[in-house]
Amino acid sequence: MKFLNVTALRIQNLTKMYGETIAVNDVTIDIRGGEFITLLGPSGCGKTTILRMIAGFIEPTAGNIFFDNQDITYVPPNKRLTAMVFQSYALFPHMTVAENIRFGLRMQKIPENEQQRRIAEVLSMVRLDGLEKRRPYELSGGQQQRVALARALAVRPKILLFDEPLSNLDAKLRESVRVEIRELQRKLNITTLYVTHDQGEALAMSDRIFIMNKGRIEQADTPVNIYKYPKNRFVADFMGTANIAAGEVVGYRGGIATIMTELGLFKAKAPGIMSKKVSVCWRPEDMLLVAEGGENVVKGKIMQSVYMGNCTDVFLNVNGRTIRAHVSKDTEMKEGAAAVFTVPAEKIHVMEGEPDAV
Amino acid sequence: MLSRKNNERLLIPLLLLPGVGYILVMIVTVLSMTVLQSFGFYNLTGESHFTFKYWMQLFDKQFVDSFLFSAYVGLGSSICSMIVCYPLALFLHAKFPGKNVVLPFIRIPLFVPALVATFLIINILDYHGLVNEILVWLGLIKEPLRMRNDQYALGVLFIQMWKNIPFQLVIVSSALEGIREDIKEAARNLGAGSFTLFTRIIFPLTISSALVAMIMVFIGTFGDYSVTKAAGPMYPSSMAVLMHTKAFMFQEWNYAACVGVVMIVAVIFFVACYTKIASIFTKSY
Repeated sequence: MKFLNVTALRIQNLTKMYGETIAVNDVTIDIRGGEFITLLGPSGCGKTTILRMIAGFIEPTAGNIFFDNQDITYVPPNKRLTAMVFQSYALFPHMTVAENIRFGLRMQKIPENEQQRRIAEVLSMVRLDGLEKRRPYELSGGQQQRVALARALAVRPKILLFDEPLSNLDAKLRESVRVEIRELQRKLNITTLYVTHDQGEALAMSDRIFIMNKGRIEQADTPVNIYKYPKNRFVADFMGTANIAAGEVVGYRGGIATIMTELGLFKAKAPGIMSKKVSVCWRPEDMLLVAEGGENVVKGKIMQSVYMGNCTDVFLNVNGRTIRAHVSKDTEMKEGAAAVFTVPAEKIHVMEGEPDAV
Repeated sequence: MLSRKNNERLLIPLLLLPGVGYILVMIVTVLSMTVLQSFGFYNLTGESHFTFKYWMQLFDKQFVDSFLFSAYVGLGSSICSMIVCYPLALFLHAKFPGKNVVLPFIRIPLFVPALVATFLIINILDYHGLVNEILVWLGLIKEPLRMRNDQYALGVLFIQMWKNIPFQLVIVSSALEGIREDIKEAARNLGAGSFTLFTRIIFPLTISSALVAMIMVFIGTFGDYSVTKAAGPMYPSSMAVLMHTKAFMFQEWNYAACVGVVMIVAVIFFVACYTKIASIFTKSY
């Protein structure tokens, strides 16, 4: 099965207000056909509201939604040909697995023999063959999640929507299911919008990530770019752990900016600097434990070291600020001892603008 | 000194006593005595001995009419109440202005005792009651209608509905509230319109509760005494009225015991039928 007519999705100036509260604030998103997009952000940022507006469950206050240039903003949800996989799976408890999948097919008036064929096909796709006659309560969380996915895929939707579908699964299962979802999406080439607050999920699955905050898109880019080059302090903080220091550009030569920060002098690779006030940002795993200082030195006292299994997370006190560094799991980091780290210039990302603004 | 094992042997029956003791004393004893009395034992007057005599006397026309009348009132009340209750519950499930004011008013009959409700409604349904007065005044009827003590027990059905609709409403409303919003959204998302959403999702998920509500009303109304005595026809009487008359007016306690046993068995039979219907509905979806 391959979705030949991939649908592009355009959200234009979408706004949703509840009284005086703005849930979604003038959001515009363009999604190419077959793309896997993730809306990522903290609770209450408006990501699920966008998803529900696309599905037609709520009407926008302003703006439009297009499927392949066709305005579907006010089309009722049962006529949109989207399929959503819900956080709680939303399986019909009084129906068997097969009946759950058949439901959407019946609504589309698919002939009986084709229904049977599709049920078998999607069940095989999600590796649930033989469980057709089970009821949802007879399935594990992971199996229920896969039935919900099979039910959504069976109707061959224009857009596949996921609303935090893995949040009820345990960590191990979450990892394996997210790989399965991504594989299926690639195989079927179906336009997919995925909502989550889990950065790991977003990084692992998406073609592009849209980071949301307070109803707005903060940054939209590929997972690599979002992680390596966060646009502002919110994105840097939200996408994993980041060390951020406000500073002022004191020199710029050959694509290298020299920045005086509260933690000391830093040299960072920067293609072009437009403002004097900046913030520098780097990841804990980019810090190198050294015996002596050099360029981009971070000296501090070890406050705490936490064994993480794959590394040790070190909390340093540097001029009263907490800086985090990841060192090899075998390195002994004694609490109270002094430690010296350096950060390679190419690993330091410069975020422009006033520190408070970024 | 008792050993630990002996202590445990004593402890288990003691722990079971509140539950099992209640069942034995209050339920098993009472039911057993009724059954035994129907076979001639535990006679309050005369000799006690085993006999089928009372059962042989039971199935006369008066008893059959009473049984059919009680079944009619029980089924009629539970079904008619549900016919009003279900759409009302669906309506009240929706959000609308003033819902919080409407709901407490609808629940008022829950707090009114059955006999009080009967007298309140008799005033409305009586020969010179409010309904007849209005109908005559409007010119819709020439003479007042007989709605109390009538042969079709319309007054009884009306009173039972008045009393039981709020009760059924509580059960059906909680079943409706229990359907998660995302399940309804999933159905709509997969292409279901309002009618399909109701027939394929909401109705199957609430039918069990609706049937439970009907069973509860049936049990209460099938064995009702006060409402049928006050507002029911002179003949036939309900099973409860017949039982009371036989026992207290004619001192036929064994006959009354037979009626009691039939009532218990009939209720169990009707409950089994309802349960079967519920399982058929659930399976068919």
